[in-house]
Amino acid sequence: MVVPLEADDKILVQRAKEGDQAAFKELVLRYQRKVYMIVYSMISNHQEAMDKTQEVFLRVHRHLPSFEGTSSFYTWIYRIAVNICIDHYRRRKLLNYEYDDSFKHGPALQEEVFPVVSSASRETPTGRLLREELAAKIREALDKLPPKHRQVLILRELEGLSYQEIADVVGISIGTVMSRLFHARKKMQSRLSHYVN
Amino acid sequence: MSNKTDCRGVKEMLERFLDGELSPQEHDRIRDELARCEECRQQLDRLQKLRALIREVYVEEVRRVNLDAVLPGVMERIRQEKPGWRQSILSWLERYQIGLVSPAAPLGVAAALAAAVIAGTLIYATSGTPEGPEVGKTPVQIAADEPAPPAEEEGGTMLAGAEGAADVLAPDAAANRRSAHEEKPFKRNECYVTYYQVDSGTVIVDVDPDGDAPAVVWHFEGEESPEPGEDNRI
Repeated sequence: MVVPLEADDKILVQRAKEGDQAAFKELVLRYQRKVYMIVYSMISNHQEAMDKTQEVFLRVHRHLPSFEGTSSFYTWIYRIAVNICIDHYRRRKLLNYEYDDSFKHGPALQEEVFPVVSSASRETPTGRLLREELAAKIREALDKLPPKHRQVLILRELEGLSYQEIADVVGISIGTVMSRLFHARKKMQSRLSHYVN
Repeated sequence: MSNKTDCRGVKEMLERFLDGELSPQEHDRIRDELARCEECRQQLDRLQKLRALIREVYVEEVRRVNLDAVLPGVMERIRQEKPGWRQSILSWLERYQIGLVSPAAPLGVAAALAAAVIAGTLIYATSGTPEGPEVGKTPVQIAADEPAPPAEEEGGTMLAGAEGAADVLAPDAAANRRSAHEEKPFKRNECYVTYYQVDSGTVIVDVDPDGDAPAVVWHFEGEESPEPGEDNRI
C-alpha cells in the first residue's frame, strides 16, 4: 500500500495552486520517479517515457488551479499519467506506428542517453547479463498484455494501489479491476512459467 | 490437503489475499486453508514470485534512470506554453486591474454551462443586449472610469461584444475590435465573469449585466479538455 505524505502533499498543492513555483517544483521532485515508473512500464521506451513524464507534470501545472482535492493528489496525478499513456496508445494505433524493436528495448539505460547512477557499474558482468536477460523477458511479457490489463497490473504490483484506488485512477469498477488483474496475472504466469514455477 | 471444492474457493481468493483485500475473517480462513493445501501454497508462491520479478526489474531499472532533466524540462515547457483560456482571462483581468473580489460562486456546473450556452447563443444569434443571467456570476471590480481594453490574448480569439449586438471578429480584425470598444467603453465599477462552455471553448465576461455595456466573449481553440472531475470555473 502506498503511504503518501498526504498532509505534506496538501500543503504543497495548496501553495502551488497559489502560484508558489517552489512548491510545484517540490511536487515534481517528489513524484517524478513514480510517474516515470508508471509511464515507462506502460510504454517501454525511456526517451518517450521521459517526454511523457514531463507532459504529465505540464498537465498537472495546467490543471492544478481546478484540482479540488476530492481525491488525493497522487491518485489524481496517476490518473493523468494513465490518461497520457492511453492517448499514447491511441495515437500509436492511429498512426499505425511501429516501434523499432531494436530501440524499444535496446537503448534502455544507454549512458549517453540516460546516464545512470554508479551502482549498476558495481555489478559483475555475469550478474548484469542475467539480470538484463530476465528484465527483457519480463518486459516482453508485460508488453504483450493488452494495455487495459497492463495498467491495472502496474498500478497494483509496482505502485501498490488498492483495488479502490486503481478503480478511481482508471475509472472502472472494483470488479473490473479484479477481473483484469486476474487475467493479467494468469497471462504473465503463463509467459514467465520458467521463472515463477 | 483440503478437498477440491475448498481448494478452488481458496484459489479464487488468493489474489485478494496477496493484495490485502480480504476481510480479517476471510484472511484467517485463507491462511488456515493455505496451511493445509500444498497446491494453494504453490499458487500463492507463483503470485508472489511474479510480483517480486516485476518489482525487481522495473524498480531497479527506474531507480537507475537519471531524472535530473525532468524538472528543467517541465519548467521550460511551462514557460513556452501559450496561456490557456484560464490564464488568458486572469491575466487580462489583472492587467487592467480587475480583481476578483469573491471566490467563484459554488454553483452547479450544469446550471453554469447552461447559462453560458444561453448567453453565448444570444450573443451570436440575436441583436439583443447580451446580458448574462444572474445565476452563475461572480462580481469583480473594475477600475472606475477606466475604459475596458480590448481583450486580445494569445490564448484565444476574442469574438467581442458590443451594445445590442455581438460582432464576431476574425483574429486579424483588430480595427473592428478597437472600434467596438471605443464606441462603448466599460466604465462601470463592477463587472461579472459568467461561466463558460468548455466544450466549445467559449468564455463570456459580462461586464455590465444590468446595463447595456457589452459582454466580452472569447473563443479558445485547441484547448485541451479538462481532466475528469475538474471544477471548470475560472
